[in-house]
Amino acid sequence: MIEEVDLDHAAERAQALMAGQVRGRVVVRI
Amino acid sequence: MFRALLLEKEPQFHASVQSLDESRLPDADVHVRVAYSTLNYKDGLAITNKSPVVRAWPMVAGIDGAGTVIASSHPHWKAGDSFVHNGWGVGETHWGCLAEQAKLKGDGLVKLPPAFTPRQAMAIGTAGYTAMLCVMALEQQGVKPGSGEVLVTGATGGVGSVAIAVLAKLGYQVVAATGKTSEEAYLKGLGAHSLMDRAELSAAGKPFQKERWAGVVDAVGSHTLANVLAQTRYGGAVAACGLAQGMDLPTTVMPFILRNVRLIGVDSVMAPLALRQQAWARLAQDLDIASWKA
Repeated sequence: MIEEVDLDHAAERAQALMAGQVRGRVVVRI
Repeated sequence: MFRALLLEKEPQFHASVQSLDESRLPDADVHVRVAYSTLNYKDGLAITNKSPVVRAWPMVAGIDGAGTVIASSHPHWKAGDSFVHNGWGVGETHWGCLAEQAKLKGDGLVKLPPAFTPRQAMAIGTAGYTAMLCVMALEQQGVKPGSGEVLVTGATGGVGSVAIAVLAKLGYQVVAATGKTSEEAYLKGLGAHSLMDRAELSAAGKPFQKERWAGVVDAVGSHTLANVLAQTRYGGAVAACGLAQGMDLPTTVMPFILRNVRLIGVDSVMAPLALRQQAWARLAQDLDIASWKA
């Protein structure tokens, strides 16, 4: 339930989060 | 130079990763290198500009961060210290942690508990730290393991999932309210004793209902919070920390004046440092991070 993305993909995952398309927590590797 | 997710308002809203000069960092007494941040719901609102979360422009997003101190003029922090940061308006009015570097106020930083890596701390994030504040609030109101069933609403969310894991580890009998019944295995894996369909709570209900809950962690608000108040047992307590269903609270005074129910508000953004330190220490002690798969 923990998804990891890098900084370059954070905005894209934020869009998905607001669209209800993210399951669990997202951590952003800086 | 450092890379950061910058939110700009002019000529139109735009979110992009940019290289910025360190001289642009805002004044604060602790200069940090961020290892991990996270995406909370509030970050989502800010990065997509769906709600007026950001109140100073341009803004570096990211309300949470964990990493290492580069330099500090604060007496409690020195280069090399590991930190965790939550809230305090960072990512809203002060440049945030979705960036390689940040300058933060030492008075608001918490030492990263040795039990957690920066990645694990950010998997917990503001949501998990808020869940711990809710559990502590119930404890302060005398809700104990063995008191009876404890309800967690919004169970698959960030607050709900950590609340279930912590309460179960402490020995509470936890009921998870969710609209995602397909997540039964996940919720029971966290420690939920049983599930409840959120539809049973989300519509307008009677002001006084059959007593069931010794305590409640509610991240939902609106009719759900009104219904759980109406179902809380005599002397029970409800910790309210969210508004996933809505910011309204269509209830009556009946649960308060006839059942001595306590409604406890829980804020994490401006919570005092001592309470934050206590919450993170309790997370290190009472959250089984390995089984939580962070």
